[in-house]
Amino acid sequence: MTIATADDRAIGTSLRVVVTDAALLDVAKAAVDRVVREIDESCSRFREDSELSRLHASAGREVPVSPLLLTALRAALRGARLSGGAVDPTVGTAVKTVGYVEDFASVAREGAAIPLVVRPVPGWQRIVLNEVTCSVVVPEGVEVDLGSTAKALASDLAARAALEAMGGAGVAGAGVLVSLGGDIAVAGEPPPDGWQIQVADSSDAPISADGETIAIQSGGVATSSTTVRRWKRGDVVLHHIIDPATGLPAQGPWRTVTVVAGDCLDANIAATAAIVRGASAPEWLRHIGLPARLVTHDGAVTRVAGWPEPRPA
Amino acid sequence: MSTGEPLTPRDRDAALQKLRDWRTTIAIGSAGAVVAFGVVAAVTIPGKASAAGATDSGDTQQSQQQPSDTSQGDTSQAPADPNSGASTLQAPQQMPAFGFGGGGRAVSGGSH
Repeated sequence: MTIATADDRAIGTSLRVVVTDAALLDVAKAAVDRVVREIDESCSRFREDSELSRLHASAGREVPVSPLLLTALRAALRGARLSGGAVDPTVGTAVKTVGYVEDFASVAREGAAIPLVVRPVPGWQRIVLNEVTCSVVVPEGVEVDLGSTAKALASDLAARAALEAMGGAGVAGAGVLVSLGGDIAVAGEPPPDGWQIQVADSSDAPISADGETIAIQSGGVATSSTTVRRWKRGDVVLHHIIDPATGLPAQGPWRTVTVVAGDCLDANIAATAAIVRGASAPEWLRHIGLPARLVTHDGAVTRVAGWPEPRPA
Repeated sequence: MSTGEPLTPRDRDAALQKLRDWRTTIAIGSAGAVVAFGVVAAVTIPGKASAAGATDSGDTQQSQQQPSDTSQGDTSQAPADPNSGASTLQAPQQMPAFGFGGGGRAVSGGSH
């Protein structure tokens, strides 16, 4: 087994592909690139030519959509339902209103004060998804943002596509890890000690001996954090995780939440929901049985539902 | 998820706390700056009907068709998504173990 890694950037964030057979890295990376490109073409709210942008341009009408966009919308609506509405894809207008109007690399980190109005988002129930005709109706005035779930879905789909391109799970020892902006999915045979995943506020943190690290065999890991995609307008610090109940950045005790789940998508849904749910999140995560690590704004760490405790130094 | 049911006291308290949190944040942030701040008179908890007087278009939720992610419609061409119909968030097949610091293959953190 020869571990090999490829690093890149895609859809405005970091991309890492790790395989357990170095000879298969190129074919795995090509498969990942294809999936990520297709997700971008379907789901980006920043591209005028994306399928999602065309859907918005046809607001109020039933619009046929591709199987991939249908899958992404289905995933978003399922996430909304299973999170009790804490992760809602109809936050598009709200996230733009607070200043996240373009690819984050282009968002000014500081700027003049802006009006901030507490206004609930339209609500995920207003999106009508027809599985039979593979079509969708987005009402006028509703703007969909798939950013929360589409990136995690892309990691899951890319890991599966890479494994298939590598010859499938039948290839002895074949395993792959895909990290898209810190949303991590693994597929196939893991390394002997599992996939070692360091957890941090930022996915750009250097891998270090001091970093808290867990080992997973399958599934996915995702982190939601208010510390990375943040900016100031006037003297108010804003971030990209919108609380659907207020239409404003979530105001809870947690700055970062990391979750392990059966796949990256579910880990992402739970992590984002935990930021939004605030103080009740640990109880909720215990109830649904997802191992999680929650970090308060002052750095205190809470581990729940089987998240491993660090070994004593 | 139901619509039209009244807020529970717990939901109402949570919503009001969020409003208070934001008032505090903006009050602090607007010292020396001009920040327009308005509050919609009523608050909607996602998945529940708006309280009376809400200006949010969520008032029309009850008339909308509910999305069905368990439909048996033809999605044969859609990418494989094993959890698409799952009724709960899926727990990992194996619990995570404590790892070996320094040997990490990737970092899970907020995305840049």
